[in-house]
Amino acid sequence: MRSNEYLIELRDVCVYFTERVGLLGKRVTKALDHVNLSISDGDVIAVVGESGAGKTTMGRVILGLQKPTSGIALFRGKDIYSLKGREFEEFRRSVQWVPQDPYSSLDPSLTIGEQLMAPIRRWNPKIDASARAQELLRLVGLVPPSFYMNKYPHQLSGGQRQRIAIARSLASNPRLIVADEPVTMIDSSLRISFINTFIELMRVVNLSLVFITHDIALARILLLKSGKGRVVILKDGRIVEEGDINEIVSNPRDEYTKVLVNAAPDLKKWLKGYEKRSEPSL
Amino acid sequence: MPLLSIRNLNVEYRLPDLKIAIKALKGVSVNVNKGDIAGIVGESGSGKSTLALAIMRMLKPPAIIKSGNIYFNDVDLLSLSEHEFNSKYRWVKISMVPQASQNIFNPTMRIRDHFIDTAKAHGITDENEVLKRASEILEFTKLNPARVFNLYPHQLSGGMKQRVAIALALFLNPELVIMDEPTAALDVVTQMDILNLVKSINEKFGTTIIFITHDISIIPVIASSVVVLYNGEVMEVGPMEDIIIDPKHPYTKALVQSTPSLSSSADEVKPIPGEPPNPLEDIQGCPFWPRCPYVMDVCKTDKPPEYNVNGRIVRCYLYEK
Repeated sequence: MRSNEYLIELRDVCVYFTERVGLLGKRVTKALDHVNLSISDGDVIAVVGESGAGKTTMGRVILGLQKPTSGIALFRGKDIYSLKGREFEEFRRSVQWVPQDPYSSLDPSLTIGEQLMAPIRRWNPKIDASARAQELLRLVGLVPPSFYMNKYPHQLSGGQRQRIAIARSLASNPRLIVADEPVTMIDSSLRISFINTFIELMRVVNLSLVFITHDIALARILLLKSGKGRVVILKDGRIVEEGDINEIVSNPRDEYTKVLVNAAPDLKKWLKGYEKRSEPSL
Repeated sequence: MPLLSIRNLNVEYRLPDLKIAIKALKGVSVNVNKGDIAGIVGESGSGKSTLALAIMRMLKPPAIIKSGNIYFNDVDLLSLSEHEFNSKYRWVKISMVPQASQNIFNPTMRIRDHFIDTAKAHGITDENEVLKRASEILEFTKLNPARVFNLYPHQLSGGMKQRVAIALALFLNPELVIMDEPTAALDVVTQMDILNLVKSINEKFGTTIIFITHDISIIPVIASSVVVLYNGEVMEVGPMEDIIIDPKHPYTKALVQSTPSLSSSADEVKPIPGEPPNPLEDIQGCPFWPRCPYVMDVCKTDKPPEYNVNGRIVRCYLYEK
């Protein structure tokens, strides 16, 4: 495949943060260390790793928010960080972000309708912004949309706010969404309905998704339910493993992946183990 | 006789501006036996932290305890004077690892001074004795006391802070420790370490533990009994194995089904329909009925009583005989 057929491609990307220590000393943190990743149209990529692994930095490089120290980040074959004018506009329109915390990512002084219509008008001044906003609300499962248009964020629950944040990311008709721990602040009982929403969106508007999470079980369900895509395991800024989620979970080759898989609480495995333990007494 | 027995506890948050009272706990009754690790599961807003703070008598206005009793070894904690409760119970017999323990430390104090401060508040002034005891506990939590004593909170990682918070809670060797979401902000690897630590505290010192979490998937790892809370009400109480293997209440069932496991298939994991309840709205009848697939007419008007199902408490009309 020619490289300009990729939606996004990271080639040997490093991001180093240099901190001053004392008068003369320096400390270098390698947030990303020689990372290679390619994202095609329609891809689903689950990025899994612990805090400090470099997941968010990777998301920021893809979003055009963090210039690599070395290496190159490409959007349809062109360096994101030297895009100008129209081409940069096209990149911005195509790659959007869903942040982690819905309690701080929405503007408290704007109604839901206003926060959705502003980016719609920015990207498409000709269409009926209000109608489009309501369409987006319906897409993310907030029905009836008219109920939400005049509400302020503080009148909504955390789960509803996060749905608004997802709707807002769709305002520019993007091709790729980078969702950075989008359900971490959401009650665990609602997380699956968000997974279903993302899958529905990918189906309906042909979206690609980079889903950043520390929860490998959740990443697995996302990939299984969407029936495609792959997982990328990050550790200390490096991709230690990448591929089919079931393959990696059942046969982790990297030591860190093994630790991650073993530490994930598993209700079902526990239940099976329980059946085995209780068999002799039956 | 249970170590802790909460009887018909009602807690309200009074919001004078809105001229309403939010009922955070509605007639909650829970028993915790000595030596248990009692898991309390519920979504945000279900009243988990309110319950913990009520036991510690640390609720502040606008929260008030409307009615109910909290018996600890048959003494009603709510009937004691603040002085008596503080000198004989709080931190001495019942202590707590608060939610978001990452933020409970005084950023200007070294870790050693947090122990000295805690000891002083309970009349222990011999610093050598304090540091000796603190070293023992820190070592038990797998921290190096000599190193950690001189650090400031910001120099510790999230997992280390959680260990120090646990060590502070154990400092006076309490009979009961309430842990409020002790692993919520930690990654899975650190979470497993902390869960193992909590279990070893329970085994080694016989400390009774109330373990509050929103994540039912860690319950089998840690708990011996489970209380399921929803919108300030108890839905189901029973031994951990029974509740996880064969949940009776539709909410507990839905909660187990909504939890992804590394071995579950895509279709097995199902979301709970609808939205969590809005605390500002008073729901008539069972609080789960708007989301319940088995809803009947009676659920919308009457609160289900406690049904005893094979030694388990289930508050659901499905089990009416």
